[in-house]
Amino acid sequence: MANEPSKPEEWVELQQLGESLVPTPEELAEARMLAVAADGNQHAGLSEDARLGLGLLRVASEGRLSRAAEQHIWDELALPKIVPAAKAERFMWFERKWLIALGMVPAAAAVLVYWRASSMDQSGSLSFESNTFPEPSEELLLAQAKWVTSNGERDPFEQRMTSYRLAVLEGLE
Amino acid sequence: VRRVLPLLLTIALAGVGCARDKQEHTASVEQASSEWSQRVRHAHELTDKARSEGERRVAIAALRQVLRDAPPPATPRVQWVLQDLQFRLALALVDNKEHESALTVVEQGLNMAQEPTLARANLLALQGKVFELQGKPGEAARALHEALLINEVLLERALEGEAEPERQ
Repeated sequence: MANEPSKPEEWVELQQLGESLVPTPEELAEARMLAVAADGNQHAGLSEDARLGLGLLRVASEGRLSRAAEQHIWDELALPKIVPAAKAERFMWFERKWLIALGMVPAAAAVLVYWRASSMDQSGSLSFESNTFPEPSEELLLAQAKWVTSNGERDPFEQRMTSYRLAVLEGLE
Repeated sequence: VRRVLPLLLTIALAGVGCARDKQEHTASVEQASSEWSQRVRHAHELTDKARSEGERRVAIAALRQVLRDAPPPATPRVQWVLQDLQFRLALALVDNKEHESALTVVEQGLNMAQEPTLARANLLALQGKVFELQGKPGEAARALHEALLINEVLLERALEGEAEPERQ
């Protein structure tokens, strides 16, 4: 795993990469239409595009992964055999969002830098052939483990929102 | 001098009185704000624990009450707390399948402030979900996309180490 990036150029590069990965409203609408047309509001039986659409809508817009969505992405979208390069780029973006939702911005940046570097071919373009897509990083697995409490898994977004809410309220007291 | 002196004294005393009134007013506003935030905290706790429809009804009543008793949203912090309360209220209403009421609450929250905050992104994401549930994918996509763009702004702030306005 790469070290946490510290150079300003890397941060700028990350931001530019992030900007290029935001889906347009039309893309989102189209993905959602596909999902609805394919199988009502259920995941089963959906096309890959439709499943990606659900991922886009439910995950990216909230900047978080619910347990179900996380599973959905690991199981369905992360597999290189069914994810074309353009979609895999978006998947990286999802990962970053998830880490940020956990308050792990440096780790999110590190994941991006690492994945980007490991996915570049000699011409400098992104390549996501079947053997080049990286395994879930150690940071991601640690982040997952962090949110498993004695009461079972809790939604990381809810956890973070509760902490954030309390911190804002403390300022009023 | 005899004529002016009493006048000057009166003005000085009035000034002292005003300053004291202002201090008392500030202290009273701060105390009211503190008491209100304790009640907000309690309403959130009730909402956190609500699992059944009946428990959610109790939480919904508590959330509505603190929203009614809210101080004027003079600061970004209070504004954020109010939008966040509206998000939680709308979410509880969605869980109780009261979709139209939830959309009304979301609208109120969104109209309260336009700044890109986590509270606003949450309201938009929830609005998108309700639209989805109502079979309105176009509206859902627009709301969710707006939430997505806010998250991008928040990300950039985080990368630049900038504090959110509600935390300043």
